[in-house]
Amino acid sequence: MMVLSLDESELLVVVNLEDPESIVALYSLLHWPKRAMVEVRVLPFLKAPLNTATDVPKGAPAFEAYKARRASARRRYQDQENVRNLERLGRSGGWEMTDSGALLGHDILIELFLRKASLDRVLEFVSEVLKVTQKIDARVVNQVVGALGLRSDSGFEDHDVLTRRPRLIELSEQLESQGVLSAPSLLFRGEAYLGYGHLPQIESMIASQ
Amino acid sequence: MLSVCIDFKSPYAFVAHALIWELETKHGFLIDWQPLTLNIGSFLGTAEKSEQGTVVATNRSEKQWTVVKAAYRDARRYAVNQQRMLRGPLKIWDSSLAGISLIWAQQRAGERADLKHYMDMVFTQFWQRKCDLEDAKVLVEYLKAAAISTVGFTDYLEGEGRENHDRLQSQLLDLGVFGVPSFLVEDEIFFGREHLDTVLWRLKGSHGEMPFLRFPWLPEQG
Repeated sequence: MMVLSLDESELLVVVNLEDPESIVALYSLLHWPKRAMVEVRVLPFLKAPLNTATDVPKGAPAFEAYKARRASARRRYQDQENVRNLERLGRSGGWEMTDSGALLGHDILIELFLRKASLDRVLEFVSEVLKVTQKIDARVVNQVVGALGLRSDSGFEDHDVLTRRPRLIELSEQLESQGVLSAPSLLFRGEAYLGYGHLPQIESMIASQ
Repeated sequence: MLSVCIDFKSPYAFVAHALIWELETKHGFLIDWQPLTLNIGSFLGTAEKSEQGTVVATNRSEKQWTVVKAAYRDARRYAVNQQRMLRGPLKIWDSSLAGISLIWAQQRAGERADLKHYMDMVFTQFWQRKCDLEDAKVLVEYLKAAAISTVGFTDYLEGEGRENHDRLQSQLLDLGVFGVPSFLVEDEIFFGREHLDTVLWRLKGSHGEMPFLRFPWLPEQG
């Protein structure tokens, strides 16, 4: 089983490339004022979005009707939020990272982590992937991997994509055991923070040390 | 037009309300406060604790407990940073009376500062476990303390106020509002205080690039 060693002095940004908000989270780090003071690392997290409502025991018809309406409201809201995140990325609706594209992209993120690649290198990879097209599949990611010369330094080979899914799952379970519930999240000094918007709090912690 | 949906029993609304008020007091955008009374049991299950903090009844799954604990851990960090006390409630409250009182207070407050004072009192006292949100008499006392008229309030709670509140719940769900705090700017919805910068950016005409999300952390803002 793969267990990654995480350094608590580093800021770990946990992302799911299928979700535009995760990519926005990475871009938000471009101008993060504390970048020079703390090592920023990136890892993928592959879990279905949190939905605690499915665990609620069935209730009376009115209760079930409320649950359904609230779930529908949540989906409608999520659509709005996706549009905003795509706007932040300079993309329009219809943008999509396919399952195979995300699998390959996440695998590259793990390799970059293992090789202690800089945040700039990670951002270079992600931004190049974003530039290519609206629908990002494994072929597109592969093109970028080749163009950036990541294949040689990542050790990634085309043929073993599927064999690498288990390590993404193992990694996600490891992160979950450390308090990560969804992506994007931040992990700093052993504490998980849901959402990248907690950067100001992390800044404050760094400033006060 | 800016509307903000809150629920007094939400820890996220509690740690956000003072910051949200700044949209009005600092930036001049009048806020239409609207209660969204959450049915927490419908998405996080239910639980009741004894005074000692022992769980005496619950239907929550392990996943739901994990999420609830993470939410309180998060909200508490920000409450502490704002020098506010946040004590987890011992049961899931029906906050609809308090929600109706919010509609009342907004309509009757002579000054906006009175409304702000009322909201701050209810939030602060509730999160210190000193306010029974389900007791109309308690709400009357807070309204009086905020210099807001209480003439007809009890009737309003059971009649027109209840109707307004229930109708509003339905309207908000139809719009896509499912949690608090939520911000409505024209027909756009923003959920969570991390959107405050974006809400302000929208209110000011969406000039320049859309801000990233940011949970306001007061000492950094000065």
